[in-house]
Amino acid sequence: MLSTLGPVVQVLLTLVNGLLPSLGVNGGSVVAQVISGLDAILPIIIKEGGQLYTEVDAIIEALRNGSTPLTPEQLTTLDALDAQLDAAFEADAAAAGAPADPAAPTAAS
Amino acid sequence: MQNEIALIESKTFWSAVLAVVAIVAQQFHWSWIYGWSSDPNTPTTILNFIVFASAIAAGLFRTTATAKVTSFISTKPGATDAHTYGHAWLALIPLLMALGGCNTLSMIAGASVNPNYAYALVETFNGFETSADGYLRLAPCVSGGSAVCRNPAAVKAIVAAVRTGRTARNAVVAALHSTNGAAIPVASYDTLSAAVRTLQSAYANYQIALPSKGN
Repeated sequence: MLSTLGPVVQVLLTLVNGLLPSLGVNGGSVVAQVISGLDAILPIIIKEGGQLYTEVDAIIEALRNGSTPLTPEQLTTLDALDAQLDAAFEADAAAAGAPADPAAPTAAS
Repeated sequence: MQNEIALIESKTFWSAVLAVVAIVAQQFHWSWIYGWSSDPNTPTTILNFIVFASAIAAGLFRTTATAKVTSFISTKPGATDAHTYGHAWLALIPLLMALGGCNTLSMIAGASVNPNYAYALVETFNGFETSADGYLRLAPCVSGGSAVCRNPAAVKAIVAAVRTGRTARNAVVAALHSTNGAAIPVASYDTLSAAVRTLQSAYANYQIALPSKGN
């Protein structure tokens, strides 16, 4: 269930996701801002729950596959964001009583 | 006889040329072939068929030519097989066609998967994963409680399928990156597909709804 903040975040994520393909090879500064922005709001997204994960996943994939080249640090950040989403799912699974997964990712900071 | 053999080998040559053109058109995504269809899968499928059929035709024509030359030599003592060896390079063409079309052949044989299907399956799984997380956050089902609740049996099935699917999805995405958008090996795709089917089944059994965009 999304809070009142959830729909706003969802609109923003959808907007970012729609704009990313229009960035060219010179979109490096915008991409950097998107990545740092995602990093900053991910705790809010995780708190809102899985309904926003698909949008975040889509943005991460669009950044990885886009025409703007990413630095190794940016790729590492995207991997960390992915890992945080997986860890959030595992936390919800544990809270719902599912047995622990030995191969599950550990929560990233 | 020699004219007949030359005609057959001419067919070998042109079959091979046709396969080469089809492969080049695929590799360079020629706009005059791909432009007419809104779905890029359609011209790709047609070109795949042309490559496959041309390679088979070239191989068959070449085999026929060789058989005719051998037969001709056996009936003419002292005749040379210069014609065969003079055009021996033609035998390489079907081989090259098979190698060039191995992407096609492996897909036909079921060893690899069209990348578009892989992307679609990844998106499907992501949708199921999103729903799964929403389901996990529901209150547990209790007697006399809300009908909107999480069932322990459903949690167990869903979490296991999501974990399996997540590993397979990551493998599929990694394969798509490593092949640069070309066909990917079928193994991880099949695992992801099985996870999606398990989730579909669990969602149907426990009446769990998938989210829609914008909700």
